Amino acid sequence: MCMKMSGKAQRLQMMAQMNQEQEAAAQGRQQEEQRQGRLGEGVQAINRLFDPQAIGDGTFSGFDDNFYNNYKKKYLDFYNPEVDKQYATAKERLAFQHADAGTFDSNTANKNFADLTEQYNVGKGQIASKADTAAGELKNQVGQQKNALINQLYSTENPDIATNTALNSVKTLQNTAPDLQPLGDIFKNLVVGGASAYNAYSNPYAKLGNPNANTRAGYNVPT
Amino acid sequence: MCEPTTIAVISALGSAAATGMSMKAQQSAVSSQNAANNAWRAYQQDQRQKEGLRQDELRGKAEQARQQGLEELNPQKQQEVRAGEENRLATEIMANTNVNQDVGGQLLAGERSGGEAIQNDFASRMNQASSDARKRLTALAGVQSYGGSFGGMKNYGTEALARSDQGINLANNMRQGSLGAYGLAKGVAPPSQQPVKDPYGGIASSLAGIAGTAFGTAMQPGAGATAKPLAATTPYTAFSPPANFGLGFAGPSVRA
Repeated sequence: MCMKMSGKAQRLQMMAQMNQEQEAAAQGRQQEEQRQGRLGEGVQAINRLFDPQAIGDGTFSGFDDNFYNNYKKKYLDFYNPEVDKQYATAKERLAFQHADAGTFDSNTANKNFADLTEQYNVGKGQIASKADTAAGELKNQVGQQKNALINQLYSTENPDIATNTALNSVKTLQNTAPDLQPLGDIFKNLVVGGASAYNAYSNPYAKLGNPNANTRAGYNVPT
Repeated sequence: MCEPTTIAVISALGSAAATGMSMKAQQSAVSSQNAANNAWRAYQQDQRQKEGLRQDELRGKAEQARQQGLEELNPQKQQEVRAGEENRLATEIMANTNVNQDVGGQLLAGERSGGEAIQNDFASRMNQASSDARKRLTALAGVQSYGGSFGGMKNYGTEALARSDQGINLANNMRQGSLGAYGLAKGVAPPSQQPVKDPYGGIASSLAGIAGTAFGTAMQPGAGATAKPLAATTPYTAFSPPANFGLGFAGPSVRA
């Protein structure tokens, strides 16, 4: 009788011990699931703040194309007027120089104006390209920031901290201004004098500065 | 006083009963140990199976992220993306210029005088200048599309790798955590019974000893129906020295 009780008690004790260990393991599993939940929540929060996505009113949040286009626009708004101004000045100077040289209406002037226009267009194109590259660098920076935040989340496993840090990062990034440096002189001085010399050499009628020259008003090409 | 035979029989019966009880107790212990072992095995199997499924699922997610990265970085896909980026960038660059306008007629309108020949020459040169600028800017867009333009190869590749990495790292992190939790389940020790004293075994052994002694006494020569007191019995001279080669043991002849 005594043995029977002891056997039962032992069986119960054995099962209780195993149940205790199983409960500890189940608790560990539950904690791991909670940790994974926190990670998922944190990653979602970071994605929500960084990735472009439609929100209720039809607009987009996150770093979407509008954000980068605005950044490019800031860049262009700074450089375009400067290039336009330099172009206008160069064109004016060229016109005056040709007028002074008496070659305003000449093939040489046409060539110089055309060269100036090409430089202007290439210059504006380069500005646009640089604005695009700057936006690309910003996009890269946004991506790096997002990665850093996700790695931080893996360390802290706390979505609240991740969200707060992400919010701060987003604010900082949103206020990032392009690195704007003064634009140098992008238009080469077209050597009007040299061009005039060539013109005079190639065109016997272009006897500039000689009042007896047989020039025909408005034309310096052989007729 | 009981007869030795009676004692022997009773003790033998008691010993047999105690042995039976002992065997039953042992069987019960073995049975409960087996049941506990089976429960443990089933638990481990269940945990192993569940962990296997979890690992497979997470591995699948990591693999999916890896595949996505590979697809995005596929040479053909990259070439398509680069060509698209070149077109986009060329359009964007040109939009910031006047190359697509009728520059010959507009840009310097009113600034040119002279005859028709000069104006025609001017228009022709301006168109040529625009054409040259377009070519240069298209080439610029082409070069930039390989590098750091907004959607150029540098940014595209970095983003594709980052996306892929994020998916793989998250899944790996979860896999490691899950393995850690599985380690706890794996560490659940198989149940083992503590050895306890088996009283029935001792009783059976004692009773068997008594039965043996009593049986031996009952079978003793001379032991009849009337038991003699021990002091009255014939001295046990069977092994007397003279008959036993001086060794203190006597042979049957001496007894006789």
